Amino acid sequence: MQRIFIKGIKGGIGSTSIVANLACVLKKSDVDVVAIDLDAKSDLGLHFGLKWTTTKGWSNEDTFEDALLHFRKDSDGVVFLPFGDNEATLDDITSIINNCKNLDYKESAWIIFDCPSHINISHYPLDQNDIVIELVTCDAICHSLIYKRLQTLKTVESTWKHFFVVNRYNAASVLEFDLFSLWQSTLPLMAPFFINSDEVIKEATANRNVALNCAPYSVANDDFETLAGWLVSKAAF
Amino acid sequence: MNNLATKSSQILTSSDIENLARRFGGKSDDYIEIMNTQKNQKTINKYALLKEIDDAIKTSKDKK
Ligand SMILES: Nc1ncnc2c1ncn2[C@@H]1O[C@H](COP(=O)(O)OP(=O)(O)O)[C@@H](O)[C@H]1O
Ligand SMILES: [Mg+2]
Repeated sequence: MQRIFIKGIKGGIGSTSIVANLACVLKKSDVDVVAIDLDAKSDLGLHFGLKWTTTKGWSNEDTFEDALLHFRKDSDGVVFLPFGDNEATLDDITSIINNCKNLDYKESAWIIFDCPSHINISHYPLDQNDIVIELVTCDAICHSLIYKRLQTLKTVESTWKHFFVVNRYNAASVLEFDLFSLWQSTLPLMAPFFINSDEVIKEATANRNVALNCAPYSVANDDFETLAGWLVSKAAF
Repeated sequence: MNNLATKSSQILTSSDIENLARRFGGKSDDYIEIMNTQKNQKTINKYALLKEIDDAIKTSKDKK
């Protein structure tokens, strides 16, 4: 199974929205997709039509066996696992990630983890086939965070495939244009495209759906298809 | 009446072709590299926080 870990370099950048939209785009192209919520906010399920009153998830169980009962399938066929409303330590998260390896899926399936922004990705059990996407926005704080991350990535000798992807890009902003151009020509690990800021993403969520179903011809859906295609090429590498 | 434009095309004159070749053929990668570096430095100088980070990284590299 191809594992993808998606996290924001800081909070609120859009990891949950991107996991949900990406999962549905991949599923549409006939890839089996499993999405796992690793964030205690436990909001991934809401993107997949999980009832608001369903609050339990893997964090409420002691064993993976019991956590299995919390898996759901959305109307597009994406299988997902809600976090739940209990607390989870790094050890708990690590063991969920490891246990997901035992899920009975074909080699061609993808498993996408919605990761909390505050846990350093290098604490996860990652291997060389894993893809880690760290989402950034084109602002000066992310510029600073990317430089810090690049320094730590050097010291931990990361073996996984690490990339930065720009989300919520505002084409009307001079600052964002300046930063995007600068990053493209000076930084390693930057994906060669951005995901535009698009109201469709918020509206789809408000309507309990994803861009693919609400607005298939939107900029947002185009961007998610670009992201999916690029990930497929990185996975094959 | 609106004069709706329709496309047409012509063959190029020899001076057109010379221009084309100059535009696409001539520049070396080095030249593009220098242009990018200048543009990047301009962006960095434009914003105080970027400048500070850039300076910090340069000094830490110099120390090594
Ligand atoms: N590309 C985008 N364009 C517009 N809004 C976005 C985009 N990506 C995310 N959002 C919005 O940003 C907010 C935070 O997104 P969310 O996915 O919950 O972030 P995170 O999981 O990183 O905390 C939500 O309101 C979401 O709809
Ligand atoms: Mg989230």
